[in-house]
Amino acid sequence: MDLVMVATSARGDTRRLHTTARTRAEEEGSGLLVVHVVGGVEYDRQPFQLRKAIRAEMRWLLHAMLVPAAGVPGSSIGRMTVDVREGDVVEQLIEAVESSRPDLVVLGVPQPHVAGALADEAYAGFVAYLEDNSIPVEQVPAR
Amino acid sequence: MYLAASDSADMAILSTEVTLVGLLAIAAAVAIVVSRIKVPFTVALVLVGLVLSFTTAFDVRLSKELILGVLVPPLVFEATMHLPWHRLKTDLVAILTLAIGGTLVGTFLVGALIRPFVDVPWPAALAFGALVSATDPVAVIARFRSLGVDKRLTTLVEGESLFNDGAAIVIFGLAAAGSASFTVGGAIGEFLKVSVGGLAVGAVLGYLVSRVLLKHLDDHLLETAITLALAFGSYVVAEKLHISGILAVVAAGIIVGEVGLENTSPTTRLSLESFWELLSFIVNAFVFLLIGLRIDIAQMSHHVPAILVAVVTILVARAVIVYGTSAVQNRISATRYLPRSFQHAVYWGGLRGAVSLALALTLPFAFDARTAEVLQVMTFGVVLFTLLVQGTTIKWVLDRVGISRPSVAALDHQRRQARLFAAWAGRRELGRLHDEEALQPYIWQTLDDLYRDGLDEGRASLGAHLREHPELETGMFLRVRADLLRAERAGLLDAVRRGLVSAEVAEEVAGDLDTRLAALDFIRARLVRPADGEEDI
Repeated sequence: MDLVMVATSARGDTRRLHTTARTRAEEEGSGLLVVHVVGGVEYDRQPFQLRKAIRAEMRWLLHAMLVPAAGVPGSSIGRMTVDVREGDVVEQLIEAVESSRPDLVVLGVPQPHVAGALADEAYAGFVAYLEDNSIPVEQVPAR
Repeated sequence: MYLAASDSADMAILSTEVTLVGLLAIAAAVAIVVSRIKVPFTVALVLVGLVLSFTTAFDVRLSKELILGVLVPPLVFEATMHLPWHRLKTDLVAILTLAIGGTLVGTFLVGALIRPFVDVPWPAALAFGALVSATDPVAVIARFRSLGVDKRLTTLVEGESLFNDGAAIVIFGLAAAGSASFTVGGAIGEFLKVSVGGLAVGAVLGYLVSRVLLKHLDDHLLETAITLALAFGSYVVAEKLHISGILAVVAAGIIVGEVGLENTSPTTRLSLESFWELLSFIVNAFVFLLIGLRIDIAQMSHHVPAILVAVVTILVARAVIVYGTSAVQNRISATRYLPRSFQHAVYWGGLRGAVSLALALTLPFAFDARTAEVLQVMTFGVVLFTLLVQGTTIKWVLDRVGISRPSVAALDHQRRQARLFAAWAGRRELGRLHDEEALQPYIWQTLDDLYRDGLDEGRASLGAHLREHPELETGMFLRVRADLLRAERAGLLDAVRRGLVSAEVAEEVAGDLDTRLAALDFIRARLVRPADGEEDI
């Protein structure tokens, strides 16, 4: 396995998701691709410079969150890439999969009454697409 | 004759002293009682004042001068001195739109809405519209602090109130003086002269005092005395020049907080803060007790329909102002987006208090007796409704819109972090004493071992807590990141002061850091629930 991809919202309930992804990448000796998509009406209305800063800060945040996620800081940090994209969540995640061709995608499972990793419909659509392409999807419950 | 006059003056002084001591004792008793029951302090003071108004225990004659010239300046100065300019600046557009635009719109809207129901002339209706536009943040801010809500929301509510007090007083003055010679252009010119003039006078006085005196002194008694003189002095000077005294105090307080206290020693800062905290507590207690004492329930009972009209009107007008200006703000300044939850909190947090009451007391000098009485009673009704109903339900509203205090886990996390910070500071000081050879080596070693063990334990405890509550992690990273960016900014300013970096380059880099801080605000609003720790470290 060369590459594990984790799609994360970076919300407070994604630590288990991060730990799973990081552990799998370390177990397999593979690289870890962290993908986060930022978008929506509110984001689109921000000036260009601020949108750029938001993406930069999200990269910083995800690095900070993912490194200690497995409890072994720094062991394979050199192989971790954080990709913060803007646009529609489903489209961007699909594009990330198509461009990087990961061997495993780790996704958070949203709960109906908890703000989950992805919106329900986006999550459902994404999984369906990935299954069609025969890329395994590991689902990690938020809690 | 001389003796008689002197005796009379002495008696008056003694009587005033007895009244002040009595009010202070009651305020202290109320503070003790409310610490055991869940009623906001200010609300309890008003209720006690109302009860006392049925007795003859206190014969207090309130006047506009007493409220605006004596009681309000220290409150405004204390609030602005503690209002960080960087927070105020980032939301200045929203604050000024709400404060000035809101007061102007509110004046005309309330005036137009009450006219069909209450028979008063146009100038009187507009004067009422202006005086009920002045919001009083004391009760709400105290609640916000106890609930640990977002500091941005606190700044919005406090900033709006500070600026709209000045705007309401100016517009009220124009409406109350309304005559045949009134012109819109003239009124706008007068408004700009009075408000900009007030801000300018306060800024100049505040800057002079800060640069010439406060920055070169390190005497906590002297500096405290100077700030007290500035608080009242800026009001008096501005009023003498026929410009806004309240706005002068606002500007002076902001300048002192930013410039005057820049290099203040910890001792002086503590002394200043203790003094202003005490003064603010006493003055606030007096203000709310006096509001209760001054409101005449018997008189209000004769004007119930007019009071109902006033209450409904101010609620409608406030909704138009807050939601309308927020929509405009969100359209023109996308970087400082006002979430819907904040809008609800600002709407319901718009309580009325001392300034409205002070202006209402001057109504008999501007309008006929019947008009003045009706409008005064309507003002009393509005003040009472907002304090007793909105003041007691604001927590419920904050809970409903999701702006509540951090969860028990978040507070626990902060406590563990605070203990670590404190222990680190202690160990650093111990290291300094050791480096200066001020300690016997064995004493240093023993204490350092103790600190090291304590820090190890603290770190382990924090780590275990985070594993137990992973939802706190995102908020923690964002708070730390914001703190680091602010430290970078401070380092940049230091480099400019030392001549290592040009001001032009520093401004460019500082702009980038400010954009990153704004980005963090955006990310935090999206990712972190208030319960997971919105409070800055």
